[in-house]
Amino acid sequence: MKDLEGKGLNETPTRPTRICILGLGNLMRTDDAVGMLTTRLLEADPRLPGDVKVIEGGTLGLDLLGRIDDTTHMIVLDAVDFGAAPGTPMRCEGEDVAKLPTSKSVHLMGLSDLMNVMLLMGLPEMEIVLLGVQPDNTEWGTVLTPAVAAIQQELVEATLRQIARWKDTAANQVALEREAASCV
Amino acid sequence: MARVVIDPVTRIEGHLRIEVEVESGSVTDAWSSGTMFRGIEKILRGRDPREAWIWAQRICGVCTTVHALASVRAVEDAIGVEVPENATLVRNIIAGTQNVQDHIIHFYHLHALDWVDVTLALKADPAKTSALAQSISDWPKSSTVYFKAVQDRVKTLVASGQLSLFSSGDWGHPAYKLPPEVNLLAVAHYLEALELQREFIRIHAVLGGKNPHPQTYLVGGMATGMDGNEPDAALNPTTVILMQELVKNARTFVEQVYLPDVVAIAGFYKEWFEYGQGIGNYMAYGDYTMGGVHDVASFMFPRGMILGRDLATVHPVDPLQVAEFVTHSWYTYAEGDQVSKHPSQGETSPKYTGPAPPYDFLHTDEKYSWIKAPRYDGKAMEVGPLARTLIAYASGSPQVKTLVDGTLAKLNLPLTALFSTMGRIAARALESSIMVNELSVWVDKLDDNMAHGNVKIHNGEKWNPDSWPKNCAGFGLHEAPRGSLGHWVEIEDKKIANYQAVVPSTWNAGPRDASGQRGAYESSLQGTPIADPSRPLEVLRTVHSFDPCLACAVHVVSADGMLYGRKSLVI
Repeated sequence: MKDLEGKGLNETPTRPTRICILGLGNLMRTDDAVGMLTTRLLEADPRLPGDVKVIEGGTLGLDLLGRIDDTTHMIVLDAVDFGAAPGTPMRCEGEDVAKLPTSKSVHLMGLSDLMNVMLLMGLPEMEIVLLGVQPDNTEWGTVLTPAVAAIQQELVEATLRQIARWKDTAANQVALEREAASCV
Repeated sequence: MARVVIDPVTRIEGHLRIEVEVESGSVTDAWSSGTMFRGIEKILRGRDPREAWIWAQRICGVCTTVHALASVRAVEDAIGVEVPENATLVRNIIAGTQNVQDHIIHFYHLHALDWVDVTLALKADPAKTSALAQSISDWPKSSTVYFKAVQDRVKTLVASGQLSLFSSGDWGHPAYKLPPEVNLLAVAHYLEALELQREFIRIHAVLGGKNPHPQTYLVGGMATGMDGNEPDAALNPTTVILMQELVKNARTFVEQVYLPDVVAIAGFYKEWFEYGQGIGNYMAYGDYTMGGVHDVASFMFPRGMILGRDLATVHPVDPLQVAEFVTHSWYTYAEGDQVSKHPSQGETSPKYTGPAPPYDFLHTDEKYSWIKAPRYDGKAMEVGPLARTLIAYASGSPQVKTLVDGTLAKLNLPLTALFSTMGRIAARALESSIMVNELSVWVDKLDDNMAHGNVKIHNGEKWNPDSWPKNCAGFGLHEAPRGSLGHWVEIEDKKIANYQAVVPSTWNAGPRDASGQRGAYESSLQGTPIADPSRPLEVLRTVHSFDPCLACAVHVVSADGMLYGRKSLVI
């Protein structure tokens, strides 16, 4: 069955891909700032596609809702205490982000809450990838510890690779839809 | 007798600890303690008074903007400068928007879960919720399908094994009395309010550049660009239309969701119109005028004081009669700790004498709080929306009288029911409705001024510090969402020599004074019933009814120091 425009009645319209990078952390808490500082490196990187939104989320929680609710794909950069050696990177995606125990990051309480509030409000789901780093020190301070500072560029590269993958998938999707449309 | 400790109290801003003594199922005494030192007063000393508001505003990111306003007013009073009408209008719109947004967030996101059992919402029949919603309001989101969808989403969350933002409720506590369908209604509106509040606060982004902490205050007026012919100006016909639209949506929400919800929920908790009475003295500095800050007669929230719950007389308020005690606060005065000092002579000399953490109990017969104890002419006062509503009612405000009488008639309750925990909640909702109506008047006036070429928004006469007296002092008052706020500043040689802020929660959450008079929280907790000392939900109901602005986890210890339980934050 088709509607008046010839679209299948059960098809959900594909949302245009909107990618954002969200840095979280307290700039005054040493390694906790790694996510925030990495977003700044990304913003200054000429390889970052111009249509990718970069948000310095700081320590805001639910207040970020208005900034990310049109996003379809989000990379979150943050310090995550998962008991590894300082500077060890980690990746976590999809529903696992909302399920992360709240004590694992200073901000994940806010982030997982944010994801759950979006679910409760019936907002469209987004793809989410958390790229984290094990902090060494989260006491007062404004300079990253050496182990954490050393991993920053790797975070930048991982973020850019993820964006490229999403963009490839989106481009393939559009090509497939065009092909399907031309068949009709 | 058992002593129950709640520390920190959650779903508030800042750090608050409550200790209560419980005997035969009710509270016999209470102590309120602010467990964090503020110290912004010390940071401000020696700075340029024109930048004081930028620092003072950072006292709090929840009651954002209110300290900026009180601060610019204090400096303007000291150096003697009047602000143009447009600046008054923009300040009123920013503060009024803050008031309404704060009240909505307080009711739904900080306080509702004390009355609403989310787990019971899962047992509700969506058709019954729909029938109930349609019987109390014209709000369009009221179909069975809608409530079923909300219920399904909550079920999904619960099935995922975590309650997330609903994790800190005392689910299943016998003090929850709402039928399942009312719980579902409230949960649906909790989520709708999240959406509303973030849209509505865009007014701050228009007028102040950002939220939290608007950036456009200026001693002598505002720095908000105003030009009817300039599309890049913050205030132009397009942004006026946006603000009118945002105000209209908020007004519809307040009238069709917030007010009906408060009446619907309060109807099941009528005994809470008796508990939580408190001191019985209410004070408001008053605020919101189209005229100058000294035009007290034109204040929308009248200035005044009610003593001993006697609504027959509104007593005058003279800010000179405000004085703070530190007898039970971790500070010391040069003249000794038994005296009280007016904020203009105020002193911030911290002296912690409390127990070394971790500790079980505070030394409540000695000093036990970082909050000072302000008194008016020696009397303890409650401030906030309830105080403002009572003072406006007793002053003969027809608008307030109609709203209060109408609401109490729906609940079949006498006027005296307002002196209570639920009275505070009702007053906050009624105040939001008055404020949201006034907001559109102010936006229209701003639009009208712009249309007539009146775009003056800053008075630069006293901008140059060379135009100031060598020594001057002043104060700025504001009725913030939580109550009467005052900043006092003393300027010497163009620099801040002394600065004191007496904030609403100082009045309400403060400790005892030299004569042993309790603060507003302490007083209001007397006689509160406690069904289960390991889950003191009832204490939280009364404390939360004040909208404490002092963050996050509750642990409760018994008299022998045993840890009963621990919970984490909601928002």
